Amino acid sequence: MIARKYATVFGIASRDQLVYLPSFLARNLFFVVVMFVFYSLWRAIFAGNATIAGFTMVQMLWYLTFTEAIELSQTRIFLPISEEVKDGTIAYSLNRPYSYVLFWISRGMGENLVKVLPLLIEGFVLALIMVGPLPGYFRALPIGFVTIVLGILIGTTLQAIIGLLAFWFEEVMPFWWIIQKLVFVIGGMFIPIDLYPEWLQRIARYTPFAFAAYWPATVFVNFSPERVVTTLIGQVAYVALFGLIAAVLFRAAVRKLHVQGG
Amino acid sequence: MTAKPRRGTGILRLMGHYFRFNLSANMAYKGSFIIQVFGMALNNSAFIIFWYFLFQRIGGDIKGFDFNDVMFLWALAAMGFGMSVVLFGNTPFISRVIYSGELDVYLLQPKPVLPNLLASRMIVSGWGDIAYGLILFSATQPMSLQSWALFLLFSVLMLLVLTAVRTLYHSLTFFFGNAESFAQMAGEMTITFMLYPGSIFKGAPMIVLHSLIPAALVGYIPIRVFKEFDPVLMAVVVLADLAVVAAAAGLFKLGLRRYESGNRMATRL
Amino acid sequence: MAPAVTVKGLSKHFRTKVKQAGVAASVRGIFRPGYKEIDAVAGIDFQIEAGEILAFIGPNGAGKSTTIKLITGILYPDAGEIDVLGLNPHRQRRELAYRIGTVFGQKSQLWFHLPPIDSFHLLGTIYDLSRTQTQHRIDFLTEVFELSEFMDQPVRKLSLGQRIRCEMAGSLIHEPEILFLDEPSIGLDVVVKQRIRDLIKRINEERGVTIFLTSHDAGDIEKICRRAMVINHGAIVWDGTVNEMKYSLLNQRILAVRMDGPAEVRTPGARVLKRKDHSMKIQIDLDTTRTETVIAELMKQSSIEDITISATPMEEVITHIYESEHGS
Repeated sequence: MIARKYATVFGIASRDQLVYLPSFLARNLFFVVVMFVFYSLWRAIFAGNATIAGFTMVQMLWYLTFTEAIELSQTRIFLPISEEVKDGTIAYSLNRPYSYVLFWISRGMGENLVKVLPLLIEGFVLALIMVGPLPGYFRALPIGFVTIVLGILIGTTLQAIIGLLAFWFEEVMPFWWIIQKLVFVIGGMFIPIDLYPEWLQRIARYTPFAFAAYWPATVFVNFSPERVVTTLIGQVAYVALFGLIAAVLFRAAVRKLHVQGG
Repeated sequence: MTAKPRRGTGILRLMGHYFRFNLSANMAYKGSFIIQVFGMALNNSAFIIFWYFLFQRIGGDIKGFDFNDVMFLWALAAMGFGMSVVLFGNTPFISRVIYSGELDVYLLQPKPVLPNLLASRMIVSGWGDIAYGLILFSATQPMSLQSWALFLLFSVLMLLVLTAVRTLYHSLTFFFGNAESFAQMAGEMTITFMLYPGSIFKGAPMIVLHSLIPAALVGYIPIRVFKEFDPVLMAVVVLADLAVVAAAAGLFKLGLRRYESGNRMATRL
Repeated sequence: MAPAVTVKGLSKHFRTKVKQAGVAASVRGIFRPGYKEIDAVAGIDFQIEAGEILAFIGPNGAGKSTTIKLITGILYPDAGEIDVLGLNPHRQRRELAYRIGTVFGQKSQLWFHLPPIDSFHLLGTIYDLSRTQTQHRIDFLTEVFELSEFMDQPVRKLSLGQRIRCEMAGSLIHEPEILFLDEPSIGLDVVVKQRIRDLIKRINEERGVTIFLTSHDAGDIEKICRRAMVINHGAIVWDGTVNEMKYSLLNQRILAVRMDGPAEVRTPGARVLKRKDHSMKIQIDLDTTRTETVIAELMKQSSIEDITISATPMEEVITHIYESEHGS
């Protein structure tokens, strides 16, 4: 069974994460701090307002726990990929019986899931303490969790693409910065895109960046069957698209490798 | 033929040499240099958009901070951070230098260990932060001699305090094993907290922001002095910032006694 | 002449964290780590005269590196006194740094991605030399170490031998009085090794630089050093001239003979190591018997076509020292 080897990679990667206890603590502490900052900020902004752009303080804080959890669980797989491209070790993986791109995506997702679970639990506790329960949380949870995983998968697939760009660019870090910032702003990582002016909302709403943050978070805070459907369709479509691009890039890169006698 | 060493002309000449040396070394990869500088400037701009639309949506100010005030904080943070990684680019790597035993090299050289260590590397993307800070300040703040003088002074203080905070936490590596993650986080938290209106925090967190994570000392208090000059507050904040620097230098020096010069790769803390 | 280095009762111990297996144990280890004390250097005394070339040998983990690091001011001693050129290494670290040079194989002072010339100029600034002084030194060292052909290539592109030459040149930029070399010939081929040895000798003879050398390489010790000091388990276990070490410590001779007929060796203290046709390699223990007794025995049985007598190879002497200290 082909899926089994990727499942194994996924499993090993997730167990590996437990070894990195210090970075685990650092990440989770950072999450708490960021949530505290957001809480302080929005408490000041909401003073005297019941809702802003249709969001209550409760919804706003819960929304941010989801988007932050997605952001903080992103493992930077583009770094090892770009290094393997640069030092040529990628050539060794060509005759191995697995897809290079799928290997890294599985590995990245294994790490990501181990990271996101504690963050979601912490987010739950923090939001509960800061602003109280989110109505409908448990109804949205099963499918909401799926959309969060798919949201992370969009980011991971994009990272595979960034890593492979090292074949053509000396420095790929700036691509990561740009993608990350697009998710921050266009994707609604920091504020729901509903707070933007109409024209920007229209641009942002159906971008892959929104499907990586805004959509999964609103599945929780603004649950409706239509929203779930839109979110899932968008996410699956973008994952497929980026997966395809990564595969094409990898093929082009392999050709380049052969030409250069790499 | 003994070349008479001109002792004590010291560390500033060396830092100047490192600066030119690292700059020209980085310039050798022009493409990468430019991409990194512009990439970083672009990277930071994302946050202007966030704040711009947030203020537009809510109108007015957040607890006494308007859009321009937040932009002042951003300009200051970018300048201070940029300068710190350009001049003291080795700061994020202190823990690694300690646990890998690379510190030996600096201990064998006749210069103060800490400045020698910190200045020996330059992180190029810092130029992007500096450029961003300067442009943002020019675009959003009043153009007067006083405002520029204060801005530059506070940038230098930010540079010193940020370097000191990271040094302080990295120095824990001497005592407890690799403290890299914690030091990195302390640095990030200092920056994160100074980028928000200080007035939204109160109580115990405010005490932390004046001590363990001294974001108030580089952001909240400077912007108050910037908006309404107060010589006493000014003097206090300068002294407090210097105290942070002294604490970092002291802990590092204490740590040197515990240095084991190992070759081990990492016993992570 | 005052001694270059004087060490009295020097001790240093380390606390190492004991790592436990398993997730639960590693979590516990973070809060309450188990420690083990190791005496890296346990009360050693020695002296090095100015102008000497000293080989400092011992198995890995014997305390060699710790000793060098204590003398050069990298580590703080727990007890004892160190005097290097009249200075206290950890209290007067900077003053001492101007007067000593170091080549530590693993820890380079050259910038990996830049040509050596850039690193040399930087080192000039580090040691407070003026630009002209630095340039003079670079010219001189370039000539001595024959660096000119690769002076403008990034260090990462140099061969190991070229890199070591650059490291040595770099460590001499400020004309140190003592040069510490930690495993300078490790990984080098025979020709390059010989070249490095010649250079070390030359620095010592022409410039009077005191050389403190650690090596596992028998050739380094035999061909360069007059004196050797052996450290094991943190204590100095042998100190004397290299000749003494070779001829008296392991009191043996190796006899290689080719006979024109069959022959046996029965003298007590003589042992045949290797035999092929009528050729033999015989080890003779001089505490038990004499070389000529064995030769006489052989000549009675057949005539000798060829013969060489040699001392035990340095290699074996060192192995012997390491092993004999193991039990104690």
